[in-house]
Amino acid sequence: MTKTEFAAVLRAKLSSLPQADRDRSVEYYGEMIDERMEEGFSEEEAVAVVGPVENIAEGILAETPAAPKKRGAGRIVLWILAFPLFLVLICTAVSIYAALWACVISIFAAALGCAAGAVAGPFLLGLGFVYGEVAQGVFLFGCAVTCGGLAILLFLPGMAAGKAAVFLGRKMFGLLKKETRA
Amino acid sequence: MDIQLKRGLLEVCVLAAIKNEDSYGYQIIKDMKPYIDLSESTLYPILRRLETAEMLTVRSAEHNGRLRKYYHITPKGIRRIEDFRDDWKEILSICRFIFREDIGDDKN
Repeated sequence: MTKTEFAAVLRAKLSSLPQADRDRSVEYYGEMIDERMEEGFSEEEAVAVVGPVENIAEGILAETPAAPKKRGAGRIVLWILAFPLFLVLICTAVSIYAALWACVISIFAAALGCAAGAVAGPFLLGLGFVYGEVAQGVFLFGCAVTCGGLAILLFLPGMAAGKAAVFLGRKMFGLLKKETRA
Repeated sequence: MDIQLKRGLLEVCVLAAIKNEDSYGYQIIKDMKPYIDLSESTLYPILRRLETAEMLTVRSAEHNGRLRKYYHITPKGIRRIEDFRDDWKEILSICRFIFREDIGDDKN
């Protein structure tokens, strides 16, 4: 076998290795063959002394650690397949979250409206006296006070709902972070 | 000999061969020949492992119209030899125990 044949066979047997490893191996054994030839061996003898190319290739392949590529590819496939489900889950979660915040806003809006009504109370009473419609004025004032009461009543649930919404938001964000990191 | 044991020992041998001056593959084999038979295919993975472990570096130099790879020991490689020198005393003690009958040590 000539040196060129040896190199070609070795290269072919190491085709599963990365280019750099393949080149390195072929260079090393090529150098060893050259050294022997320099000592006086013929090309055929030098190649024979270095050893059967099959064994050499086997040895090199045995030393190479197995590539962990497969695990990475499987992970990506899983994510692609699970994506529709994942998307549905996210949409559901976002909708619920949005609905919760809508409730919070409605409650606070109602509270604000009532508060506005309560503030109007004294004005309406005053106007009633001015226009001589005292009864109406007092009645409207009464309504305003009720509104004020309602505002105060709505405030507490509003705060509670708000806290719940914030809590839920944090939890969802945390979960999302964990999943995307893994 | 146990393969792992031999590998470890041969790694230190190769480092010792390039400790005082850079050398190339075939020369390393010739230097070690009086002491231990080392084939090209045994040497190759050792050189690769030592390079990966940063105990030696490789450079190419021109020789007779072709490129020859020279190996140079690093400080980490020198430390490996020194660690082995420390291990050596322990190895001697272990051998003394294992072969205590042969060396008449068990008569105590």
